[in-house]
Order: sequence, then C-alpha cells, then structure tokens
Amino acid sequence: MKLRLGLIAGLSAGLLATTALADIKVGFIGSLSSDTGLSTLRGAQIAIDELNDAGGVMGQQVSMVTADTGEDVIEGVKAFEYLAESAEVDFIISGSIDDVSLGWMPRMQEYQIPTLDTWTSYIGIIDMVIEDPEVMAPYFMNIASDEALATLYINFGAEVLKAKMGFESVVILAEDTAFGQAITGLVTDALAPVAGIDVADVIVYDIGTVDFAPIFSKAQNSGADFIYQVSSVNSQVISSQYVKLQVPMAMTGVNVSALGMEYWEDTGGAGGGISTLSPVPSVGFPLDPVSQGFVDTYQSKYDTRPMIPHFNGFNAYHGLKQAMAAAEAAGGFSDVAAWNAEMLKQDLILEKDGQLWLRYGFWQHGEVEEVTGRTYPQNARFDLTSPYEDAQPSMVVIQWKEDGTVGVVYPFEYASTEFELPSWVK
Amino acid sequence: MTQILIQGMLLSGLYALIAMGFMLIFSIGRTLNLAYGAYLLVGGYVYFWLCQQMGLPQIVGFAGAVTAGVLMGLLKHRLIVKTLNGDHVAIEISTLILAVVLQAGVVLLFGDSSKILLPIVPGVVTVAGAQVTFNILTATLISWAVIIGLYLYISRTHTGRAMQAVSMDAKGAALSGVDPDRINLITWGISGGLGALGGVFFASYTQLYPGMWVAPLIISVAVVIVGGIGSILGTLVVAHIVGFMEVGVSSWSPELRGVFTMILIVAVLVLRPQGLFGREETH
Amino acid sequence: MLVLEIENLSAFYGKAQALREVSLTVNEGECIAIVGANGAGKSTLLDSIMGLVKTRGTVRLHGEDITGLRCAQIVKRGVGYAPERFNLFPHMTVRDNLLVGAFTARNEIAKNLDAVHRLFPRLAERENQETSTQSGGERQMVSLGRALMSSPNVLLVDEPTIGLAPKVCGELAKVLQRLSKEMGLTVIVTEQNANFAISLAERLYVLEGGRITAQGTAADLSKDDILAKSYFGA
Repeated sequence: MKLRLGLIAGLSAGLLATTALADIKVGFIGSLSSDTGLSTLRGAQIAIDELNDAGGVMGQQVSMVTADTGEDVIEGVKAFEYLAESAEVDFIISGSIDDVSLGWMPRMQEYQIPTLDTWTSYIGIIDMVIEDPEVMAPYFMNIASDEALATLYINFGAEVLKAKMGFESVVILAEDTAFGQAITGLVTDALAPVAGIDVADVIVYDIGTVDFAPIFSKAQNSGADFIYQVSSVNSQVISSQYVKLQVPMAMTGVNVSALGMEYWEDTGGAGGGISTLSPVPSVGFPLDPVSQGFVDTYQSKYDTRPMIPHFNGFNAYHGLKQAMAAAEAAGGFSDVAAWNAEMLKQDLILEKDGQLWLRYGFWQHGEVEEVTGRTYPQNARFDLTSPYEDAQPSMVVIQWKEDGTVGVVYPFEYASTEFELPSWVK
Repeated sequence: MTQILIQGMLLSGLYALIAMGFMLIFSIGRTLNLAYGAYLLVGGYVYFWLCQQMGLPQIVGFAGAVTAGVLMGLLKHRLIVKTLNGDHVAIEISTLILAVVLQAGVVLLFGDSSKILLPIVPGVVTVAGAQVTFNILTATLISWAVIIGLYLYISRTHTGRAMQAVSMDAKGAALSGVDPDRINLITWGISGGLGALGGVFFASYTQLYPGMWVAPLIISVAVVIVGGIGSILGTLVVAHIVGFMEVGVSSWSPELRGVFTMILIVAVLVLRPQGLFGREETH
Repeated sequence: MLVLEIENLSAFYGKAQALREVSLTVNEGECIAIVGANGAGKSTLLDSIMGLVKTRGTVRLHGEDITGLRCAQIVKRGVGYAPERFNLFPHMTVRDNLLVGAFTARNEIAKNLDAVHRLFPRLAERENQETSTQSGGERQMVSLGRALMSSPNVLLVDEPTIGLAPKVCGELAKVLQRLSKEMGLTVIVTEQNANFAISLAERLYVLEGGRITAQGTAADLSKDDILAKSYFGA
C-alpha cells in the first residue's frame, strides 16, 4: 500500500514536472514525409529550440506535437482533431497544402485554436477572413496569396518576356487541378491586357500523363513563342521531359517541384532551362544575415532533404516566434481576440546591406493594397511595386541553369542571375 | 499525323512490355496480380539506387532491377499464392495490400518526392517535327527485343510450351509430366523480371515516385482485358491500340487522356468479354 | 513380373469416398481392363495412380512405392495417361500438344514422334491443326499420342470409346493391342463398354461403388450370371 502510494505520488510529481516544463504546446500539421512539410516542421522546431534556450515563453518551455496529414484531406482533418482534442495544443503551425488546409478549416473555426499557415497561398482563405473576421480570428497566413503571386508574375511577363525577349504569344500548359485552373484564369485574364502577350492556346493535361511528347508537339503547333506551365503535381515529369525532348521553346510558369534545392537531383539533371515563380525566400535567393543564420543552424542540425528549407521553413521559423511574441503580449493563446490583435502588430524587418530585404508583417483589416485594389487581412505583407521599399516582392522568378545552378532572375532588385533561353532554343 | 505515328509507336512498345508480364500471370497463373505494379516500382527504384545513387554502370542497374523483380515474383508465389492455394479473392486482396506496403517501404527508404531517372541513352533527334529522345527509342527497341524473345521462348522451348499448356489445361499439363506448380513459379519469376524491366523504362519515360505502381497496373489491366487472356499477339496489338489512343487523344484533348482507354475496357467487357484476341474458355 | 501393385487404395473427394480399399495387380506387358458403370470410380482409380487425388493405401510401380508422389514424378517413372476428357491444350497445334507430352523425355522426341505418327498417320497429316477444331476420334489419338511421347512402359487409358463411332472403336482396339503386344507396353483400360473390354483385355476387374467386386478372365466373369447380365449383355 505504501509502495503504491509512493508510486502515485511519484507519477503525479513527474506529470506536474512535465507540465511545468512544457506548458506551451505547439502542434505541427502537415506531411511528415514531403520536403515542404519537413521545411515547416524543422523551421518551427529550430524557433522553439531557440526560444527555450533563451528561457522559454512567459517563463514556460515550449514543446511540439506532430500530426501527419500525408497530404490527404481526410487525414488532415483527423490530424487537426488529434491536435485539438488529444494533444490539446495551444497553437498550430501548418505546412499543409491548399486542399488539406481547406479540409481542416471548419475544425479550426470550431476549436478556435490560433493557427499559422506557412505553405498554402490560396486566396479563398483570405476571402474567408474578410467575410467573417471573428470566426477566422485565430487564422494567419504568412505567405503572399495567389493573387499577389500572379500579379507580380504578369509584370515579369511585361518586363522580361515581352520587353526583353520579344515574346508576343504564349501557350499555357496547365494540369487539370483546381490550382491549375486558378492560375490559368489569373494569367489568361492579365497577360494580354497588362503584358501585351497573346494567349495562343490553353492546353489542359491530365496529372497522370506519362508521355508529354504529343502535348509538347501540340504546344509547338500552336505557333506561340513560349510555354507557360502550371504544374503542382508531379511537376518534375513535365520539366524533365521538356529538357529530355529539347522542346524548342522557352518554358516558364509555376513548377512546384523546382522550388526546392533537390530539384536538380530529383530530375537527374534533366531540369535546366526552366523558370518558375517562387514565393520568397526561394532557392537561389540571396539571404539577409538573420535568415542566413537560420539556414546555418538548419544545416548543422539536419542532414537529410530538404538540404535548404523551402520558403515555408523560413515562414515557420519567423512566424512561430511572432506567434509566441503575440501570445506573450496577449497573456497567452486562450484569448483569441487579444492574440489576434497582438499578432497583427507583429512586424519583423530584416535588412541586407542596410536595405529592407524581407519583412514579416501582416496586412491589417481594411488596408487596401494599391496595385490589386483589395485587402489581404491576416495575410503576409508584400509589395507589388518596384523598388519594393514597403516589403519584399510577393514572389520572385527563379531559373534553373543547365549546369545545375539556380538564381533569381526577377525582380531585378533581387536578381542574382539573368533570364536566358535554354541552349537548344537559342 | 507523322508525329502521332512516331510517338504512338514509341509509347505502345513500352506499354506492350509492361502488359506482357501481367498477361503471363493472368493467363498461366490465373491470378489477377494487383501487386504487378509493385515490380515496376521496385525495378525503377533499384535501378535508380544502383546507377544514380551508387554510380554503378547501367548494366548493373538493369541486372539488379530484373533480379529484384524475379525474386519478388518467386517469393510472392511461394509465400502468398501457394499458401492461399487458389483462393483468388484472398490472393488479390493480399497482393494489393502488398503493393501498398511496398509503396510505404519506398517512401521510408527514398522519401515521397519524385525522382527523375537520367536518360538511359542521352540525346534527341527531330523526326518529322516530333522530338524523339534516344532514351525512349532505346526503351522501345529493347521492349521489342524482349517481347520477341518472350514469344520465341514460349512457342519454341519446352518450358515455354509447358507454360502455355498449364494455362490451357493444368491437369493435362500435369499428366504430360509438367509440374504446374514449378511452371507457375517460373512464370511468376519471369513476370516479376519483365515488370521490373518495364519499371526502369517507365520511370525513365516519366519519373520515379512511390505511387508509380498504379498507372502501369491500370494500363496492364486494360491491355489484358481488351486483348484477351493468353495471347502475346493480342497483348501486343492492344498495347498499340491503347498507346496510339493516348497519343492521339493527348494531341487532341490532353485532359481526356485516360478516358478513352476506360471506355474501350467497358465496351470490350460488354461486347466481347473474352477480349478482342482472347480464346473462349472451354471450362 | 509385377509392374503395378495396388493395395487397399481408398480415395476421397473432400468427405466423399470414391474408392474403397481397392487392390489389384498388373503384370508386365499385360493388358487389363477395369469395367464398371458410370460413377463406379474408374476415373478416380486412374487419377489416384497418377497422384492426382488424395488417397490412402499403397501404389507400387516396379516395386517402388509411388504413393504421394506428384503426377509429374510418376510420369517420369514411366506411366502415361490418356484421360477420359483428353485434357488436351485446345489452342495449341497437334504437334505442340505432342511436344508437351515429351516434357520428361526430351531425348526421345524423334523416335517417339515417329512411333506416334506410324500408329496414327492422321496426326502427321494434321500436325498444324489446333486440337480445339478436331473431332472426338482425332482428339483421342492426340491424347494417346501425347501419353506415348513420354516413353511410358505403363499406359493408362480412361474410357477410350466414349462418344466414338463403332468403326473407330474397332480401330482403337487394334491400336491398343499393338501397343501391348508389339511394343510391350503394360496397358490398363477402363471401360463401360464391356464388349470392347473383352475384345482387348486378358484380365478384367469389375468396379462397383468404388470396390472391386469381381476379377478374372472374360470367360471366368461370364460364368457369373449377375455380372454377365449387367455388363456383358448375355
């Protein structure tokens, strides 16, 4: 009897000790086996380690619980429920893809757990914030949303593709997904009127396509000057076949697989010549000292892919610290309205060579972005006009060269290399 | 038109090779091997591991891939098919589960991001406005060589004839001195090797990714259903019908790529259940 | 000299017992017949000898216990089998059917093929025809030919006359006698048609309900009134 009592006492003490040690629980939701999921997870982990080393948050240690979505909507919903009900986390950091975020969104609205999305850029979620700010108060997205990405890309079309390369017409190769449709819509609506580039043809292909040879033939037959690809699923296939087939037209657009440093290895080197828009910081993006410090820590800690975190890894690292700072100011995460107000105030400006280079801040409610003429409450702050003095551009265009190097080609203020045609096109 | 002809020939040769191993098991082992795609998966990854990660010569990669496929086939027959002793539903379910398990294994070992194989033979040539890579040309030529070899093996050797015999009448084969069990084992081995080889080519055509076993499985099922059981010629012809249809539809309306193949399957199932080239089952 | 000895052989299909303690012996070069009605267990008996059915009891071939061996091993030891339903390979040519029969006797293909063609000249004429397109008589020839391709010294023939025209039956009887008399094969034939059996066999066994109920020469058996009535039409 005595022994049992002793055991219980010991156990309770142990439990109390753990609770005291890890009073703030962060939940990670995302795919534990994808490069993008791991980027968010590791970015968040490094931020937590640094916070704990510095004495924790509000005198408490921060711990992390992970929930794997496997990039599946149903699994994602279950993962969110697990974090909310079983793990009882205070805050959620998400590396979910568009569909998965949309899947768990109703749960977030129900549980009202402060959540930061670092990967999905779906503008529809920001529209939800506009429509129902109260129910969406716990939600923040610290990547520039689609609309901003596409808008700046159109400028690339005007300034580089049209003005510099002399391209007059484009053929769009888009996958048959919601993402493909959305981007195709944004690009076709704006390319002709804004950039003066005609859309010669739009070719929608099945994401299971094995053989792109006939599709590229069709693209060539359209007579367009270049190909605009929209590919988020199996993107390596279309780009590597483009290179292997030496399709005699330039290809640019959105290629999600080309956003990571492993793209070169994954394409077996058959990936040079293509360019894609990328949220910042991208691969080949010159870094400010703070972000570089993060990458150094990351690389000393992890030696498996992704070797360099994707943009969402940076978003998670900086964003998690901001969420904790907001909680500190609001007295914790439980008063969502208070936390939301403090989160909106977060503003981290990172300079490089004395100039604003990256800014981690949020658009306020009612604040209108001039170029697009709309609001982006609780979305990452971005700048759509040169010389980008308010914040970083919403995206950059990067190009993989045939020697396996990668660099930013647009906007010019952030460029590290020049846009060029593949050798077989010249 | 010439473009479609060239591209159709190339894709069809690959499809024929992939479907061949599936047809063998379906005809001889009488098993719908839903884990067939897993041979392609493992073959592709073994080749990638040996050649692209270890830097070994291509011939080692091919040999390794085919060996892995053969071993998988033999093990599957010994451990699953024989143990379940003709319970087709149980075999189909367990082979399907096996494929999913293998997929998880690949994710564990190689991660779930896709990988592109280096071209087996680099280079590209433009023929009548169609780009033809030497890689795909090589894959098609080797596919043809393997298919012709398989045809000769099955029609000219004792073991090959015994395979046909088992497929048509297992009792008749047994009382001719053929051990159907052993022939089945050999067939599973060959099927695994063919699948793995097809996997290397399929991956070099497209990409390596853990879910890559599904698409070739669907193509194989389509080719075998439409072509009919037990016919190399039927498999070859229908692989070309499916290949040309895909290329044709891709050049006309790419988002409908797989639809016509499915319609073809349903149409054949309704109108001619034994397949276009299949024999009527006598019992 | 004893070629085949069967002792207390019982066979089962699941729980149903098809043979009950059957014992019989066959001497070298002998031609015997097993006579019985439909369902008496004749085919089961031959299948049991070939190891195709689950059995209890003993089967000895040239003194060696072959019980429990697989069919292919028994064929290799010199037993050929022409089953009732032929079990041919319908979409293979006559020649390929015969070649499959040579699976265990690959060194003797030329010799055996020649012998088969001499017995059945028709098979030589039609060697490229698929067996699915052949008549019953032709299929019977292919079936016997295929069994002979394995260089057997014992030949089991299951109900060879079923569905054959009387004239063809006569020719068949001659062939089987030649195999036994001229080529020295030990032949075991099962038959419903007792007259055919008598015309062929030196000794007969009567199988009823899975049991051997009588045995002897044709003369012996015809002395038994009941047997004579039921099988020999006397």
